[in-house]
Formats: sequence, structure tokens, C-alpha cells
Amino acid sequence: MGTRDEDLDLDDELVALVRGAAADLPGYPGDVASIRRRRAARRRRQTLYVGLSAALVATVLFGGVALFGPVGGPAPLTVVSTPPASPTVAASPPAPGTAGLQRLFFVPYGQSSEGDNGAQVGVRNNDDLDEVLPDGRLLTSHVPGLAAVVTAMSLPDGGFVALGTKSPTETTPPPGAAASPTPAGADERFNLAVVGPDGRVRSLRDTAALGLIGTNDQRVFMYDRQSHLLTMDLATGRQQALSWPALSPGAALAGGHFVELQGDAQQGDAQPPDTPTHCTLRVLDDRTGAQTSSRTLPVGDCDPGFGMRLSPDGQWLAVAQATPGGSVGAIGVLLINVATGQQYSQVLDQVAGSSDDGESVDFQGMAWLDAGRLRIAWTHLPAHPTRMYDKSEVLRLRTVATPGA
Amino acid sequence: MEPFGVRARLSGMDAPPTRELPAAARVPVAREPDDHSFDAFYRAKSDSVYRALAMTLGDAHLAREATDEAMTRACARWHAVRSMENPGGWAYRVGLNWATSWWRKRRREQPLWPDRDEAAVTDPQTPVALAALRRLPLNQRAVVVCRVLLDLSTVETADLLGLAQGTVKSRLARALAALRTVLTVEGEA
Repeated sequence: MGTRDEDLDLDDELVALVRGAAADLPGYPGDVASIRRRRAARRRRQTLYVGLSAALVATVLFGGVALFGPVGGPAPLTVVSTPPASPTVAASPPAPGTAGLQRLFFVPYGQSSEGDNGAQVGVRNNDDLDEVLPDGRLLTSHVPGLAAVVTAMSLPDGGFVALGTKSPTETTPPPGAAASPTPAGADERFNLAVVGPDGRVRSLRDTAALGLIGTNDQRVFMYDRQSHLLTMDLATGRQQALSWPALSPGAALAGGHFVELQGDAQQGDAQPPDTPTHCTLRVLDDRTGAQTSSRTLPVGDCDPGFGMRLSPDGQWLAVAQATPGGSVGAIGVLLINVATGQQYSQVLDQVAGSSDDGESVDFQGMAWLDAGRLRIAWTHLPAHPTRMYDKSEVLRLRTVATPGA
Repeated sequence: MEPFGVRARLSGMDAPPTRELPAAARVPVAREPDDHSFDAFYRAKSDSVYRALAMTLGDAHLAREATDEAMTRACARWHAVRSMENPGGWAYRVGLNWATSWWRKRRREQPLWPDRDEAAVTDPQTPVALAALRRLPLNQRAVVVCRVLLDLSTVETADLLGLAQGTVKSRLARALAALRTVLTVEGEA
């Protein structure tokens, strides 16, 4: 510890009063065993994430070499099941997508840990595409050509694009002309499916993309394992690298522009790792990639949280956030007015206590129903879980409105 | 339809990150010697970190959660935290960041230092000190706690809280002046 500064006026009486008050408080009631249990539960969850990634790679590795280009023409989506997210049970294939409507797709994550009874407990994930329909029903669909869906995003015409691992049946090697402009090993390549609002697969293409940034009526914006930007032209299917230095993979796209939150993390022994030192909201034109405006925000806003969605008119940025570590705590949403920087936040759900009783909440997805209403989906695992749950069993939905909507 | 509450934020208190590290960057499982070392750190520092957080936050229950979270992170990253100059200060900062993040706003809006916590104290001066502290803004309380309870210098406090030294001095000066005023008034009453 350092030496006290000479110029500070810390009189003894005040110091004694504060120290006395601190010493008089009841002591810390925690114990190291509970910390270790908490750490172990968190590590198991991290392992699950790593396992998912490994499974995706393994699927590609052992599933054969990639097939390039459309496969057998358009194919319809296959409805796998329609588990209820609400008392209503979906009994029909998905309704055709509606132009301009964002569709609420789930992230492909579950969670697993050892329960009180020694059995695996948590939330089960599946390899197909989970979607909450506008009426609240949960629909699980198989996308032909994708063995396991990694991510999906709406298209402006009501369809969607989905990125996922290749089906094991794909054995045809890619043609000589590279489908994707950035080099990547065969074990790193995914398929990108473009699905129309009628549920039919328009195209299925090999890609080096690892994630989606957004879509407009002309292009799909993606990023690869090295965070290089890629685009695919929806009309021709041609993929190319994108050199827009102002655009990052963390951006959200809607209403003709990208919006991103950009913060620098300062590494240092005195600081918690990854603590951002500033946060800037930047707006970029989606045709040129040029920055059109920027705004400084409170540092905490650059918490990437679970994800971002921009309202269809591009006026509101929704950021889904959770407690650090994610396995216990709370789910909330932060809305940022892109034009004014005005912010609104709301805690949507949180566990009852802080102990390691297994209760947890986990973000699943969100989408704007229109320019003023945002729907968020998450799972809430009850305390002392005794088994693995399907997402439909523990799913919670909430629709929130922007001020004035 | 749920209405939004207007967001409040404390100046100078940054929310902690929830950034998910890439799988390849995740911290490996600590080895056995580190486990023993962490246990020693936990025994030596957890109570002081908790008391410092309790005095800063004005909420013993929130301080418990924040200490748990900070110690869990310290455990997970012990191979890095152990080499820091001030691991206890790091844990305090992590807990403070965690507790002051926006999703805890709802709790902060509740009355600070509920009666159930004060009921357990024995020194009659303690409620007076707590009442005086709770009148300070959180960022001033943090500086007071760092300087008085954690016994850090201005430079160390500035490093720990990510502030300029001048900011630390000015906040401390304002906090001490306010504390003296409150304590004088309450003493005369």
C-alpha cells in the first residue's frame, strides 16, 4: 500500500468513525466452498459453449467436404415440432413471413450443470431453428442443408437467412472458383441458406462466414473467423470481401444504416479485465459504409451483452443485457434512441436469490414487431432443477414499447 | 406491454463488461497450487472487501452478492489476479462495478441500509457514520472507502477507480467536508 499523501485532510476522528462503523457491521457471510461451486457451475456452462463450437466443427469435419452452390433447387422448410411457448399449440407450418417484420429466432445455446440430485440439469438445445411466431407460438423448423443452425436473421421481404453447419450428406467438393473471398480451412466453412417468405429455400451456399451482421434488400452482411467482413449479393449469390474500415462485426442493420457501439477496453493490472474506457454510438450508411454520425454514450452501454437489434426504421437500438457471467442474475433490455442518445432500460426478469440453487435466466432472442414494439425471449430455469428442460417449457416472452409508441 | 423506466447512471462508476471471451481465450482451469493460494487470499481479503463494498453501496445484501461475484471472478482468473499488486483492490473494483451496473438500479432505488442491517450493530456511533455516508454520492463514498478503509494512497485510489488524481482529491475533499457538516449537525442535535 502506498504512503498517505501529505496534502490530504483525513482527520483522525473521521477516519476512526468510518473504520469503526465498518468494523461494527456483521461480517461477510460467504464461504470459499460456495465460491468454488459457483465457479465450477460457470465453468461447466463455458464448457458447454466450447463443446457446442467443437460440435459444429466436428460436424463439418466428419460430415464430408462442402457442397457449393444451390442444392437441388428450392426446398421447403420442414416443420419439426411446435412446442408451446404459450398455452396455444401451433398446429400448422409457419405462416409466410411478412415484409418488414423482424422474425424472432433463438440463439443455439442451452445450458447444463450438475443438479442437486447429481443429474445433468439445464436447458436443452436443438440443432434446428427455433422461432417465436407473432402470435407467441414457438416453432422449430429444419432448414435443409443445415445440420445445425448457428444463427439466423430476417430479410426485408419477410424471408430469412440462416447460417449453419453442413449436412453430413454433402460430399461434393466445392468447385474451383472460390465461393467465399477469404481463405478458410474446410473445417471452418458453413452453409448459408436464403429462405423466402413462403418458407422455401432459395439458395444454399458454402461460405467462410461465421456470423451474420444484418441484411438489407440487396445484400447479406457477414463476418468470418478473423472478423473480416463479407457480403453476399442476394440477387446473384456472389460473395465478396468488404473493405469498410468503419464497420465492425458487432453492428446492427436496419432502416438503411448500420448502428454500432464501439468501446475500447483498457487492459491493466489495476483494472478489471476488459473494462471499457469509452463508448461511442456510430451510424454508418448501409450502401457505402461511410460514417454519418456518432455520439458518446455512458461507458457501460458498450457492454455487448447478448445482442443488439435495430428497429425497422433505424431509430431505436435494443441491447439485451444480463449479469456478468450470465448463468445467474438478471435479463434486461436497454433502448437507445439513435438520433438523440436518450436511453431507457428495464429489468425483465431476475432470479430470486444469489445463491447457487440452480435458478438462472438466459437470453434467447429478440425482434422488433414494428418500429415501436420489441419482443424479447428468454428462458428461466427454476430453482433446484431436477432435469433437462426443453426451451418451450421454461420460455418467457415480453413485449416492450418505445416511449410514445 | 411494459413501460420503460428512465435510466439513471452514476457518474464515474462504470458498468462492468459482460463480454464473452472467445473459446480459445478462456482461462484454463487453475492448477492445484493456485487453488491453495486462492483460498489464502479469500481468507485474508474477502471480509475486508465485503465491508468496503457494504460501506460504499450502503446495502449489505448487495455487498454480499458483489463480493461473491468478485471472488468468483478472482477464483476463475486467479493465475492473473494473484500477480497483481493489489488483488484485494481489484476484487473491490470488480464488485463495485458489478453492483453499480444498470440492472441493479432497481435495488439502489430502495432505501439504503435497511433497518435489519443496522439492528445488528453494537456501536452507537455506527448508525451516525452510516447515515452520514449514505448522504454522499456513490462516487464520493467509493473514494472515501478506498482512502480510509482500504488505506490506499491517492495514486492507488486513482488507479483502482480509473480516475485522475485530481478527481480523487476533489471528491475526497468534498466528501470529507460533507461528512463533517453532517456529523457536526447531528452532533449538535
